[in-house]
Amino acid sequence: MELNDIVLLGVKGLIGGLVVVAFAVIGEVLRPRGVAGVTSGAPSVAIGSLSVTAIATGTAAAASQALGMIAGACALAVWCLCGLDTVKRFGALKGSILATLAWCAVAVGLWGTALR
Amino acid sequence: MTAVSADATRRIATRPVREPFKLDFAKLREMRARDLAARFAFGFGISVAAGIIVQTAGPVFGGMFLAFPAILPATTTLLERRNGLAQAAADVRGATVGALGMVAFASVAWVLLRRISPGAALAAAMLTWIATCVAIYAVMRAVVHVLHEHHYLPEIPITEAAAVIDALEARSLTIAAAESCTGGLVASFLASVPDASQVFRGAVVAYDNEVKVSQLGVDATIIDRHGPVSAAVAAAMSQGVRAAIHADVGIGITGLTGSATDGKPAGLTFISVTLAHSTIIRRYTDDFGPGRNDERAVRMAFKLVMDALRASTDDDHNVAETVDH
Repeated sequence: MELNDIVLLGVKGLIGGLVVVAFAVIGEVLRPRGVAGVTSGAPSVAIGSLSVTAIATGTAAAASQALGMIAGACALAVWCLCGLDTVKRFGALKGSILATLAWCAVAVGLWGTALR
Repeated sequence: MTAVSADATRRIATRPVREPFKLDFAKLREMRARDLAARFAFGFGISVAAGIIVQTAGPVFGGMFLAFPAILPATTTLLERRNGLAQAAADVRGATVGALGMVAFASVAWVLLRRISPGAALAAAMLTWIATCVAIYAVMRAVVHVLHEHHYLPEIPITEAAAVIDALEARSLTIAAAESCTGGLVASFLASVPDASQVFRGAVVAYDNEVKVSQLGVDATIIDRHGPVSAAVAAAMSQGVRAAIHADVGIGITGLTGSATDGKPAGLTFISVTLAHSTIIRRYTDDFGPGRNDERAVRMAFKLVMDALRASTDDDHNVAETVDH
């Protein structure tokens, strides 16, 4: 990994972290809670990563990442649907971990069948 | 012991089922720097991890991790700890809408990034996310309205009370409550759950110390030694109401939900839950104001019952602890 790559990773991380915090603040003031929860599913990380990739590497690379992100977002929707049950049943931590297994299964499944 | 303000009681008891959209900037004061730092760390971490995966496994595979649920579990866990399980579940429900919007975001970004400038493409994708979320949410609310499902998208503890009733019913257990500062709010919410009569046996509003002694059997010397707002009194209340009403589970709540008294700070609340072989006590010290403190006490009482039931299932041994929150 070259120095340039490390710097880009750092910039992506910085922007990603800041956007996540920004959405967290928006989510905190929004009411009711169900609406505020929408910001938990905001494309916080994607905004930073896609913009940095598009500027530094090119729009083709960013578009490819966006294609992969479609599968990831579908898997995230499944995470939420599973999480609705598992979080209530097992609590936030265990429920989230179980739902994450569903995310992995769906994401890898979509990648293997449609994107590979 | 301070009085529960009539306004606070009315606010919880008569809160509209469908809360209107609003921006509650007062909530910003409740945000903790360490929570924001944790979120930043998660955002930073997943961004870097996704970047590394892109470099090693290719942009399409790595792109999937731009939607990896790293921040959601952190937020959900924080919410559960701070506001109870129902709020955490409500957050996941809202995130479902956000995730579906994210599919639209990624689709628009994928199409437009090759065709127009990156800034315009991502701006269009973001607008699409917002529009999609608004549309889905509006449809959901319309469906809820049509179906008259009043408890959908709630922000009232009725769902937490229902969860407690369900959990107790599944274990064939009964419950009783001894309330001081909350003045019967816990009992009110438990009683409002359909079929609660199978589980909820009753409650004692032991607002005055003399009532704690005469009705709940709290030792007067405990009150004298520790003060009415103390872990010892909360534990004695939960144990006393359990015995007095012949219930399997007892809740005891004592606190200063209004203002500081006798050198103890406003917001200080002790909640105790007693089962057959165990008593769990929690101390809460944050002061959210008169109404919010009552609400917190009700929510945390329900959460503590759920925690106690889980603990009794996992490990049926004596438990006695006091934890800062």
